[in-house]
This record gives sequence, C-alpha cells and structure tokens, in this order.
Amino acid sequence: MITGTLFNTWRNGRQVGTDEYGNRYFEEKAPKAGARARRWVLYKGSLEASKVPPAWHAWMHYTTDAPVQAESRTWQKSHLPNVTGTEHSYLPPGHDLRGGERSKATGDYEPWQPV
Amino acid sequence: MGVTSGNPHNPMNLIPPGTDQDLILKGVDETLKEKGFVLSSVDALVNWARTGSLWPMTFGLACCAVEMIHAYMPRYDLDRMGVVPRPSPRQSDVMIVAGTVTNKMAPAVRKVYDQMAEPRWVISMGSCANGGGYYHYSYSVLRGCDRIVPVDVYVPGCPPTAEALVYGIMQLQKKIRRTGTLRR
Repeated sequence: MITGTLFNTWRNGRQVGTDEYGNRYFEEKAPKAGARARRWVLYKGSLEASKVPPAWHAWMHYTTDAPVQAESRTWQKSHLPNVTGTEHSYLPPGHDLRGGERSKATGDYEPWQPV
Repeated sequence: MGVTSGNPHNPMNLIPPGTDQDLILKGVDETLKEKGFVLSSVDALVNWARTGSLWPMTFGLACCAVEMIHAYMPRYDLDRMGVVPRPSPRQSDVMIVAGTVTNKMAPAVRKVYDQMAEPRWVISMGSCANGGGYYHYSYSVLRGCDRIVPVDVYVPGCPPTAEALVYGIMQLQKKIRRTGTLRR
C-alpha cells in the first residue's frame, strides 16, 4: 500500500465502515467549503478496483449517502472481483486450455476454402 | 450449433461465498515461481520498469479518441501512471486503437504496429476496434482490429469511459507482470 495514501488517510480520513471482505472505506474529515467530502478505499491486500462490492460501490460514487443496506435475496450471488488472468477466468467451450475439443458443428456451416 | 450449456469454469461454482478476495485473485499479479531467485528478481525489475512507463502510440481514429484524451487530462491523469502519449511508433510501447478501423486505415495501423519496438502491446478500445461494432456490416470497415494486430486488452463500450480505459491500462500492467519476462 502506498505510504502517502496511508499518511493522508491518517491525517484527513474518517473511517466510514468495512465491507465483508475487509476493505476499509474512508471519508474526508473536513471537506473544503462548497466541496463534497472525498471518499476513498483502502483495499485489503492487492490493489484491484473490482474488489469493491456493489453496496459500497454506490457509496464510493456518491450515488447514496450511506452504503446500501438491502436485504439479501436467495437468488443473489456474492460479489466476485474481476477474475481475468486467474485460474477462475472464463474459458469458452473448445478453448485450448480446456482441452481444445470443440463439439461438431451441425453441418450448416461451410468454411471458405482459399484457392 | 457447437454451443454447450453449462460452464465448468464458472467461478461461482468453485468459490464458496465469503472467500478471501485475494485468494480468488491469486495469480493475477504473480509470475511463475519456479524460475529461481536471480531470474525472478530480474524479471520483477524489468516488469516494474515496463509497467511504470507504458508509452502509448497516439492512435485516435474516432469518437473513442475523445475519451482517450479525457483519460490523459487532469481528472484521470494517466501521466501519474507513467503513461505519456508519443507521436512516433518508434518511441512507444503500447498502441491504443481508439475507434473505427476502416479498410483504408488498416494498412496504416498494421504499418505503425510493425514499426513499434519490442516489447509491444495493443489495447483495443471500444466496440468498433473490438469487433466492428456499429459498422460491423459496413462495406468499408474492418471487423475488429484483432484481424490485423494481436490485441492484449479489449476495452468494451461505445465509447468506453475514460475510467474504463484507465482500468484497461491497469489490466495490461497486470498482464505484463504476469506474463512479461525477458524470455518472451
């Protein structure tokens, strides 16, 4: 984590809360006259913007005054950061890393044969 | 037609809720561990240097270029990440293809890419550069710039916001840290 950000957080920041993953959210203690209080996050672990769950994302972007406190539905899925490049990343069927075996086409497709 | 339902690689099936986010993201920033101390240290230094000064070739073709300019301007300020637009392909590391690539422009895009020095990367920005977008069925437009240059990062959107481009550049930095070594 960046030392300057930590110093600025210690000096100007007021902790608003923590999400379920351990990321901490801060707001400016004394905003400038006429300006809204700046909001920022200190990530737990690696720096990755997509680690912010939707409830806090709305707060971070000034959509809501407080993090969204909606009741959780059964069909809701838990938040997932961007998994591109990890072992969990999506590989379409027939991808080389998934064996490279494609299911046969149905026969209505004629590839162009270069002469 | 060649489409199967159900994806065994769906991460939601693998990861129980409440898992540490860093465990899920494991591997994004890391290179291979079995390289040995000297090589991995040199690689870390090289990757630090490469990711810290990604100079893009200024390649604004259409309205995406406006958003690219926004990303350079003080609000998002790509300068602080060492991203400085260069006017010459010989000085640049990454080409941001921002906008519709027409058939007429395609040879120029390819020539500019060929003139860039290794190591080089390409960011495809916007629907038109990703796959033709709105002009996919036009007679005069290339259906995606990945038909002529190898693309590392695709930034979706029409046009993508400046934030999206900045995030795409950060994704490219992660990719360089993950894959970029002296032995490419």
